[in-house]
Amino acid sequence: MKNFSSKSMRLQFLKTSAFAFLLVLSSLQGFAALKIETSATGLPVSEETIKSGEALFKSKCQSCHQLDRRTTGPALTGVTERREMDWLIQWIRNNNELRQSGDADAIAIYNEYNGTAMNVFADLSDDQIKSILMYTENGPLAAPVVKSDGAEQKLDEGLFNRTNWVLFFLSILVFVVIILIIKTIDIVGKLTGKEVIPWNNINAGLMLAFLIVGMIAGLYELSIHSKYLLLSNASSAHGGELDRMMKITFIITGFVFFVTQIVLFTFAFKYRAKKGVKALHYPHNDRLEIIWTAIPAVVLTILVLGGLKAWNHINEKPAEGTAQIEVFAQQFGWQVRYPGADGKLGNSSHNLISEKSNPLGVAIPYKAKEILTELESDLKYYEEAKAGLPEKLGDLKSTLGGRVGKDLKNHLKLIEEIESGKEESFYDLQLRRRNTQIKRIKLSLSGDAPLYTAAAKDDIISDEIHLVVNEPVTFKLRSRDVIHSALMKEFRAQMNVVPGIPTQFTFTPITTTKGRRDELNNQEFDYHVICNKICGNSHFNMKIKIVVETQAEYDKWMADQKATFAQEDAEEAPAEAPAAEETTEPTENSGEVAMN
Amino acid sequence: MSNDHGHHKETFISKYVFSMDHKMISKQFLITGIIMGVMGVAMSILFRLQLAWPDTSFPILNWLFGDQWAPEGRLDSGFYMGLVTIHGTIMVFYVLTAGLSGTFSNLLIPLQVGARDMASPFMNMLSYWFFFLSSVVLMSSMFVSTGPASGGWTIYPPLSALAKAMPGSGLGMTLWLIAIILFIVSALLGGINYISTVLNMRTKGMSMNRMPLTIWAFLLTAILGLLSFPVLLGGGLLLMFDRLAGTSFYLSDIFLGGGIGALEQSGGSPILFQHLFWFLGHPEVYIIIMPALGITSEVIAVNSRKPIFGYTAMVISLIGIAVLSFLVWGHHMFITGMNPFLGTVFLIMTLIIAVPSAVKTFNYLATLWKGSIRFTNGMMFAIGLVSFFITGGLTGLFLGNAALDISLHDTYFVVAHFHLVMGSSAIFGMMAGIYHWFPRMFGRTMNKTLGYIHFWLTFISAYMVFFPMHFQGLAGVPRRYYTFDILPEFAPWLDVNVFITLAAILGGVAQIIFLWNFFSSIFAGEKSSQNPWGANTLEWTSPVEHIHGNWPGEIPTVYRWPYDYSLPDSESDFIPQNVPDEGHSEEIHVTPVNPVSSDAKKEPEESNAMFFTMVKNWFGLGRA
Repeated sequence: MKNFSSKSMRLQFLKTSAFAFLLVLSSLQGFAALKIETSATGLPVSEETIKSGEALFKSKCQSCHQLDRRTTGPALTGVTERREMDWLIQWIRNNNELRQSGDADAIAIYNEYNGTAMNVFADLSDDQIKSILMYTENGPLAAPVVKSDGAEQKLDEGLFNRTNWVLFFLSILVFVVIILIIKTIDIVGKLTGKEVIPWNNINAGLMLAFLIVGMIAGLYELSIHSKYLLLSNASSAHGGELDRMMKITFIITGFVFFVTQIVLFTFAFKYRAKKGVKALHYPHNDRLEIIWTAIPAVVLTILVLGGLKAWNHINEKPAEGTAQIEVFAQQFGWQVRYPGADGKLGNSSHNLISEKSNPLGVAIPYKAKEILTELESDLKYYEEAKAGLPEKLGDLKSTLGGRVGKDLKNHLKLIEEIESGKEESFYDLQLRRRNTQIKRIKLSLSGDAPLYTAAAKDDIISDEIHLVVNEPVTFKLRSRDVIHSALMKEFRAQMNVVPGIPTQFTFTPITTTKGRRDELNNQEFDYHVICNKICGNSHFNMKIKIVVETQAEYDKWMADQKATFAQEDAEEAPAEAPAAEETTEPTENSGEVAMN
Repeated sequence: MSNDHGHHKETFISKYVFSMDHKMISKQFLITGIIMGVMGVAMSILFRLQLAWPDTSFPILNWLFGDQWAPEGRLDSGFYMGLVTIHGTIMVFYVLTAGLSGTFSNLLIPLQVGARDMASPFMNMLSYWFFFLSSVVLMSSMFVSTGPASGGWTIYPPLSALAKAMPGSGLGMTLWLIAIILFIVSALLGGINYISTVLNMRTKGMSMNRMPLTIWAFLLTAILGLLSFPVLLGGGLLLMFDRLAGTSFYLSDIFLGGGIGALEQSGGSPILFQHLFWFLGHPEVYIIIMPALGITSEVIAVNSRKPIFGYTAMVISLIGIAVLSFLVWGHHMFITGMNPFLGTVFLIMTLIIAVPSAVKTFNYLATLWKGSIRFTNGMMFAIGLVSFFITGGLTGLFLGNAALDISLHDTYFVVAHFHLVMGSSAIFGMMAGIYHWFPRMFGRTMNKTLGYIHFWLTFISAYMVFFPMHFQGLAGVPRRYYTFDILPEFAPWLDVNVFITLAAILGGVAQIIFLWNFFSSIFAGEKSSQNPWGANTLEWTSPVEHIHGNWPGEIPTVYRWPYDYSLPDSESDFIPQNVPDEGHSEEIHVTPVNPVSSDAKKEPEESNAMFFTMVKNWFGLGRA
């Protein structure tokens, strides 16, 4: 980076001169959209590029990265100043390859983030990656909303300021004083032989006070938060029933809650020990006990029956011909697969997944063959890496000198991993995995290859779920790696996504996104699927947008979608091979097995 | 008969370290439990900082966890999950199972049934040391380079099975599993002991229906543990095989990113693990709460100066809860895609378990009715327990209902529910026990004024922490999230999170008062009288001085049930169990002692002596 400093100086100059210009511009237009003049990407800076970069950033990067702070991955503001452009493109497209090629920076990042690997984005073009990077340079495009409460935003940063330290020590002082007072009271009580403070009465009174204050506080909280609760206006057909059930349970438990808590604390207050009053020896009353066993039993029966009705209704087998979409979960994102014109989803297998070319592992013969080539090259890589271990060890040892601190520690760790045989056994394991995978793919391609059906050819893969309002839809849920859970709170729908065990959830959306926005009076609102089962470091940021729209809007959207595998597969029909030699493994066919 | 275990020489090690005396072992469990509890609570406060102020840099976090886990003073998202996981593990197993059950079963079972020690003092000692070892292994996982286990305390595979799925699933997870396996060994050694002591070593006259409710609770808890912990042991071992030996019990059809690729494992089921886990996991909830309920029954009766209302109903509902607790585990799994029919079965079973729980609550209320309530520290915590048990128990009716669970599963509603019904409740039961039996353990009383402050701060802050979480859950806010930037609709809850964190800090500070009170009272507390609360049970007849065998002379004989408080014809408002009947005060509902069983146990201490001889012969430990 020879010209780095001159470049940054130039940037600085441009920025300052641009600033004045922008100031004028913004006062004219009302918003300052572009914060940068030139971009390290080499592309001309334009609002359009940044906008598309922002969209890509939100769908691909946001689950692990933010612009201004480290989350699962590093903060991305200024990343174009920290790294070379070519390196960034390589890294974003396939960081595994870069790491495998022995790139020191790539390995260092992997280690710094505790061995959390970044996802592969092989489908992004150079221009797309550059647009994302331009977005990181510029920041969000949205017209800056005038923040009148800038001070409030900064509030928490001052948590450790001087005032708070003073307050902190003051509160400790108060605390110590209280303890001293208590000690004194205790000593006075001991000396005089009389209780100075009538603790029993005080505590009895506090019990009553707690009851009253607590109830008021609880109701106050309910009053300010009730507008956020999902207790009515469900956006799905079954949601109304659940909301009703919820309300009934609320009323019953609320009633019991108030009555029992009131009784508890009132008794505590009323029956506090008083001089000369003896407790009533009252060991049991069979009739009373039968009554308060029977009443809960009856109430619970009502709740059980209501619950069973709703549960069975929700779990009814979907009618024949219900639209199906596949929702695919992986660390840390979602994708959706539409069946295309034939209305049938093609098969899939985890063995056919390639982060580069077939992220969902859809069973398409030409893709399978592509993956075979990829796997063969993987094999070659691992074999070479294994053979090159002694040499690598020698290199590492010879470059040991002069390293200090963290660098030395990492370096020693690398040496240790080779010397202990850990690295070699990892390569062996990877070789075995790849060989098994190759064997399984070849097996699935042999014979009449039942895994590869024509239904897969017109499947459409998308980063956004579109649903038709008032049409039932079955979500077929499939996981790539660990258990996820698809929570769609406005639809009162949730189902776990379990690797190896397909699950599904059927519901009917009844409110369009637009309708919901009007209901909420919030034009920014969108439905989402979010992950609700801990699935790794970026679990908290795993979502996909759902758009509920009218049939016409849906058709229009669908018309814009291209069948993911269509054109390339044109010349290659599924191999009409001779008699089957072996059958495919049952696990590879599991894509379509219904759960119940 | 004179005590034949008192005269051998005790060294520091045999008295305080490798002690076989149940009273000392109970203190060891308690103090270890308190230390673990301090760490568990501290962790919760640290990760709550992240939830309340996600953008703020806290130098203290960086100072504690270094650049690896708290760069720039903000928790790393994986380490945040690690803290959540270890917090859950510590509180569930180490504090509320071992700390609670280990302490009070050990202290009270021999003393309240009238036995010289546990059936097997040696196994009892092993139980503690396995627990200790387990604690050390668990805490050591905080220091490994890939961080502690961080897939949640429920450690669902495949996340926990695949070392590359998240950093915490590396060595940290292996250590977690080893710790839990050691823990289970400890729980089983203890449980066998508790059961055999209660069943075989009761003193003359102590029939089953004269046992204090504490003993009933400890007995049923031990049975639950004995039947359910081995299942988790099995599940944990299989997970270990999946992790270390390449088996596929829980793994199937997995493609892992980060250059790992497709795995070979096929045919396993991740759901199988959840079945095995919750087959322990649900009874575990009752393993935690039942001893607390037992303690509460005793403390409420003593301090209301009234017999516990409906003794028989209390016992039957304990048994009912124990049996039903084995039939409800599936309510943790309603939305795993298991057959909806199974969902209906678990829905029915789960809601049925509310009936015995309701009976217990009503009986507590009836015990307070027309009592003469003395607000000792123990009593206040017992009342607090009842309040939490109601609040948390009622929300169980939402979560046990499969249909409602669809939207509430894994939201903050669940967090609120179990932190109230088994977290706060059980902690309050434990506190009630500590304040109540402190005089019996250490011969001194804790400072009651500090106790009141401790109670009120803890009680109020616990409600302030967990009550708002119901609302968060009803708004669909998921648990185990590091930040809530994901959806704009979660933004209003940031204020609530700040509120909760401040309340949690208040609650944490309150525990410092407790710690000060506890440890200073051990050495400098006010000397206690023999029976400071005027209680009927046998432990208050045994001398406070540390002696083997509990009673210097003969073991007292029991003539009555433990709840003869405020008898109308009696002058004193309590009649201890060892006071002979004068004929007229006979309780109708207490059936006479079964002569056969009491004959068989004429000299319960003999079996004890025999065991000591056996131990001596086996291990040559040289008991004189």
